[in-house]
Amino acid sequence: MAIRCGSVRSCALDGIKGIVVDIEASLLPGLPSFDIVGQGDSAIREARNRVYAAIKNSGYQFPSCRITTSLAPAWIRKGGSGFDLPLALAILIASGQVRQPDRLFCAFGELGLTGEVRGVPGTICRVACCLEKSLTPIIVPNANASEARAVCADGLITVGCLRELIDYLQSGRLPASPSIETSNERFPGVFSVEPLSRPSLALIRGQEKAVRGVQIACAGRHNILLLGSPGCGKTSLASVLPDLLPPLNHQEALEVTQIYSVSGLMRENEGLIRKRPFRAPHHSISRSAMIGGGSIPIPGEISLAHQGVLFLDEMTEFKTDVLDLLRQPLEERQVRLARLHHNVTYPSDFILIGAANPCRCGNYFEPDQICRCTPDQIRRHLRNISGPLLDRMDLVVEMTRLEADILPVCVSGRPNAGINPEDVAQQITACWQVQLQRMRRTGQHSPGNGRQRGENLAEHLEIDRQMLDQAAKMANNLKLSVRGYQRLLRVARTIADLDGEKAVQYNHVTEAMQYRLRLS
Amino acid sequence: MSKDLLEMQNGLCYLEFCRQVGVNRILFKRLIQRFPDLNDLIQAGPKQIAEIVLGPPDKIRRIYAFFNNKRLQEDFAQKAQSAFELGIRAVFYTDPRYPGRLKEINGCPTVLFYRGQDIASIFAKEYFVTLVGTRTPTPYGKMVSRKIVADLAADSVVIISGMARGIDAEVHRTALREGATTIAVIGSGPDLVYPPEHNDLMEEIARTGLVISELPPGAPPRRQHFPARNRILSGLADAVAVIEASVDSGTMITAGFAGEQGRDVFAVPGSILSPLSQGCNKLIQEGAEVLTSASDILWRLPKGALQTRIEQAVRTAVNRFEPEDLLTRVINALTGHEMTLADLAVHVNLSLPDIAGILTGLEMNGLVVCSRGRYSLTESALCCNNS
Ligand SMILES: [Zn+2]
Repeated sequence: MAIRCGSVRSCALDGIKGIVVDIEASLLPGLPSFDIVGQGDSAIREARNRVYAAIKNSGYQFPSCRITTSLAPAWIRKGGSGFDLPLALAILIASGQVRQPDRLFCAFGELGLTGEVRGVPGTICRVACCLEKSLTPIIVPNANASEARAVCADGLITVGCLRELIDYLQSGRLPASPSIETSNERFPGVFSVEPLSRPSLALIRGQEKAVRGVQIACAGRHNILLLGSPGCGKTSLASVLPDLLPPLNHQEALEVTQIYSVSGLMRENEGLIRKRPFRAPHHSISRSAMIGGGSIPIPGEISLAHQGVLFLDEMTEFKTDVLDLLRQPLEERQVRLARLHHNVTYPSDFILIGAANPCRCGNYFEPDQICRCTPDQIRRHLRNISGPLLDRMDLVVEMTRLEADILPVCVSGRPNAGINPEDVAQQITACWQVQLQRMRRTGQHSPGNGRQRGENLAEHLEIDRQMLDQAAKMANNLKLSVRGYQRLLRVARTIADLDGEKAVQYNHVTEAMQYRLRLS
Repeated sequence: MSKDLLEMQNGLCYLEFCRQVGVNRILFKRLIQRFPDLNDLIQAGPKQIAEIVLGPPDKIRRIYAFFNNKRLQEDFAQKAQSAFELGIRAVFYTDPRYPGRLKEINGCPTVLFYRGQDIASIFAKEYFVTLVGTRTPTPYGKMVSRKIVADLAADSVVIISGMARGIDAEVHRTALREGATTIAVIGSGPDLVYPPEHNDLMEEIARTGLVISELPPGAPPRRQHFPARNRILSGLADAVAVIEASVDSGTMITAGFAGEQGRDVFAVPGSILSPLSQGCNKLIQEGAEVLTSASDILWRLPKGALQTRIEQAVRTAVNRFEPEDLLTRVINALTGHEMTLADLAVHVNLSLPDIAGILTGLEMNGLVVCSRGRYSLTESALCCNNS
């Protein structure tokens, strides 16, 4: 008896990287059965039912014998419904209904019961992996076409159903590719509203210090903490941030899109994500939703905020253990999720914006309101955020509720003459350029004074000896800790960059001083 | 003959005159005003002297004899010449270069001898603080002197001390290390070193500052000179700080003079068990200011040292504006109000970065505090503003 085997290449996901997987099917004599081996998750076990229905409903025979399919290499844990299509194909080849194609290709996609091919998460990562291994053509579900095209111009075959794919493999006839409008306008974030209807920086009035603080934070990628009573505008200020950050460059856009794709958060027909993410998880968030989790880990909020902004409103309300999880990613700019057999690493390089009430009742900053907190409660309030995390907040801005007489101006929507959001954004972009040039001199490849750390801080920030001494004297005078002094230097550097100055000067340091943390 | 040399000769002459004819500063002043060159005085007869000096003929004769003692005058000229060559100069209290603060005190020296830099430019500096203490300090005393002097030096205060062993030497050395101008007031002629091991120290002080004495070159250090020397120590300064002293030390004499001369007296508190802190603690009991940091002194310096300092800070922070004007505007805006940074920027019509910088300067000097997101004046600022 001839060996009845079929094999098809596909691609699995390991973090945001793809890994080529061989899908083999072998038909053996015996009672009819259908097994899938090779560390598949429950979605893969369920693939049996989808594959069975899809083959039948596409007009083929489902072989009535003992079918063993394997996903190799077996050591890596695989998940999701992306192997439906190659599994079906391997079975059809093994049963002789489809000729084993003479050229290599790679296929993935979920099968509907009628034989239609549906989109799968992580398409962009899989396509990138196939390209790297020169494994073309790449068979991609129609639904993921825009995403795939973002990284691959030729060698893509988009299919809508199983039959189309088999037609192509047998006769070389390309499936009619639907005309797809690629959109990349979306804001990858939690906003249900579109960016246009969010407040503009120019409409924020009376909070100039906070606006300036946010501007500095953006310019140097500093973490910033906004302190103020409820309703003083912390959230609307934070939500302005993504507008101020420069657009993602190609490499960054790829990373962000990969993360969103792996998380299954891409919309249909969505191409590369061009805008910086803005994530604002609720304070009830779980540990795994924050940093990523699952048996096959998927990215958490900190990775979804990669290259963008993570906004923690009511920061003191977050569970302490959840906040503590942020420390390692804030240092390493990526998160390692350890699992039994292997680790998955996701990038997580974000600007952290925290917002918190100044005290438990929230009225501590308001002279005309009564704060019922005891001095001890006020002191302890911010301690909810652990010291090490507070230490990573380069800027702290106190915000107070606006006086009633300014409010009409705010509501009238008359823009603040002093602030033009486009100018600010441009300034920040220029600032990033300057930093990038400086950081390249010390072997770093992405801008951000806010991420400079450690012993060579002064060297990396290019602050001269004399100014360091002066800053140290100031820090001493105002009783800053060593970390406080380092924060001061980082912020002063950014202010100098915003000023277009090569050297950090006295006035940059004195301004930076006003954004220090004052624990009452 | 150069003017400096002439001054020196006059100085030596005066001291001898006091010894032989009797201390009479007014008389000597009238004489040298009339005859700026001593040679003219020598040429002058008793008649001309009598025109100036109204007194018994006996006295006139003595004066005449004194000035006509050729040997004596030649001796002065020779001594003046050799002292001059050593770099020693003299300054009379009538001279505009004579330190103004010293003139205020009772029994100020008529003539000062000094070595080092140009006396006029040194005393043109703004603030002078004398720091003194025991010759046998504890480690605490040494640490305190280093810290306080370094902080004062950072604010370009001229540091004065007595060049004795112990605290004095520590004070001078710290000042030199911190690049501050320092003045040593010594109890011997400015050409002699006491204690001898401070030879290098004295040279170094003279290189950037001054070594001052009311004793003529060649006068040896004598026990009885030192108390008198202490009145100059305190007289030259705006404030006197005692770092460590036992109850019956010369340092306490300096503090006593300082009190009489209306100088602010500061004392560093210390352990009640340490004999070397008993002097200081006693001074505090008697009403001296407690010295815990340099800013305690800076606050009390006349003419608002602090004000100047802030103005300087502001000047560097916002070089585009007139700092005095700005400060008044900021202080006025904050008087009686608490303001946010944004409000303040609107009130004084400054950009946010500028006002932030100014506030840091004010904060560092303890004039402004920020609490609950609003800036307000501290009590000291309120005092400052009212005065
Ligand atoms: Zn409260």
